[in-house]
Amino acid sequence: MNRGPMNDQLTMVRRLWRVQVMNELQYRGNVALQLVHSVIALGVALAAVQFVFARVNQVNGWTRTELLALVGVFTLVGGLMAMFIRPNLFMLVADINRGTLDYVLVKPRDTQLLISVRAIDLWKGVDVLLGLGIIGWATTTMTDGPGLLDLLAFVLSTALGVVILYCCMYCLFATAFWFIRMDEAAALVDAVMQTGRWPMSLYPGWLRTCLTLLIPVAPGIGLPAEALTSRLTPLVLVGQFAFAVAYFVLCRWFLRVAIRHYSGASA
Amino acid sequence: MTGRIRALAAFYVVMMKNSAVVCFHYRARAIILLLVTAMEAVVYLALWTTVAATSPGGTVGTWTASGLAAYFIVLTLVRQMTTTSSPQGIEERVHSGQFSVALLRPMHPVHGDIAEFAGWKVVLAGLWLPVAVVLTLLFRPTFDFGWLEVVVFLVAVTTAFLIRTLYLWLLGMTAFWLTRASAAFDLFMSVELLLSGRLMPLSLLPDWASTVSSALPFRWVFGFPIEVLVAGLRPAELVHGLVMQAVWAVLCGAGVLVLWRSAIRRYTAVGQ
Repeated sequence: MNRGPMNDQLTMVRRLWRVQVMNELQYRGNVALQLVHSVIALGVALAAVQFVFARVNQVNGWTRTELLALVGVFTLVGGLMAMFIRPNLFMLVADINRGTLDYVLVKPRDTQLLISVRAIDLWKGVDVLLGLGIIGWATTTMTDGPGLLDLLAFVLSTALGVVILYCCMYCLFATAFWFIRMDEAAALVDAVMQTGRWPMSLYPGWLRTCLTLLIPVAPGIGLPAEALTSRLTPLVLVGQFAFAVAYFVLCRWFLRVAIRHYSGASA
Repeated sequence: MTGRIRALAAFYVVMMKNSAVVCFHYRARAIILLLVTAMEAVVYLALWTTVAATSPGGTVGTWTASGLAAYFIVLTLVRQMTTTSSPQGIEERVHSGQFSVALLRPMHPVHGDIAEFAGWKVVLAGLWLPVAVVLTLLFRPTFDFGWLEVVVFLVAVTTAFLIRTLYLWLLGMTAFWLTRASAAFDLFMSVELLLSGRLMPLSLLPDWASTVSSALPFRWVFGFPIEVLVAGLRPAELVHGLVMQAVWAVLCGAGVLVLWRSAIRRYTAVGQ
């Protein structure tokens, strides 16, 4: 029976993830450690919001609960990236450096798909759950909470945001085909991502532009948070969709160009 | 004794020169690390200057937007000057057996770390200047210092580097007893971040947090050196700050020496 190329790809993704999950489940003790790390990171973020609101009643129009929702979105998106995107990026860089990307390239499957689904850091799912928990808590305590349309916009905007961040990270890490070392670049991206803890409207125009085009924290984290706090207009959501599509096309093209520069293990 | 001090001084000079050359050689890496540490300050610079600008009277507590801009611009420098060995780095050296080489030297290994990072500071200070100029043009800070404050700042930031190196060493040395101390490191660094003056000037902390922070060394590492240049501290406050720094430097130094003696008895390395 011919199941079609799309079904084949989905089966491959499902099997690869199943193996990864089984592998991660061997180390169940790690969930406790991850929980401690995640709770500490979340505690710092919540404490920072509390400290700020000890002095003011609102930050550029954002109330305390709205900022808590933003912290939740930041934790959720960060968790999704740490769970699905980062492990694959580091595996890609390691393969380029060691020359073991050959094993991926010779497989009769879409290379970009393969290098995007080979690894999962299952326990980072703790961040995803904590983020969802904070979002749930913040939205139920908001005086004017999100409606059904806002929630739908939030889900869509988060999905688009993750796609945009995925494209940005893959474009950046694909430069490893030329520059080899990516540790510092990864640290810089992590540092820039921290801007997503606060509303984008706080930052000056030049920084907002950088956070939209260069490292897309604004469409990746800022817009989902705006959807949750009923600030996102349909036009901006359409713009985010167009941006995600354009970035994905760019990412696919750039990865193809980059892979052509791969010299392999025997070169 | 004099000979030992002279030898130690010669070691510091050579190590610092070597480290400065290495830092300059890998200047792209140094610039990225500078930007990484500066980002944190830029985030809170944007946050607090906006909060001040939109608050009634244009102030938060006693801080104006331009005063807060000055605070966080100086923080970018203090962050550079206090970057040092991470506890994770020390843990890695314990677990991989790299301390074996350091043990062959006729001096405490902490000297190597202090000298190496101190050498980096010379280059980093130079690289920081353009960042400071750009931030100054963008955020229009107001500074409040004379020659006395500049001298006190240089002493304070040097002592801050020393204190931070020593307490991170104390933390890193727990790796001699614990196989996995990353959660403890995370917790410690989080408390440091919250109560050191990196998120906001210490006078803006809630009262309970301010009380807790006064019992810890962090405010003397970050908050105090910054306030020397931007808060118009009185001479008595400058002296008090320097004395507190000296106390914490001695306490942390003594802690490192005492803990090292026990730690080194537990150290085992095979095949290194």
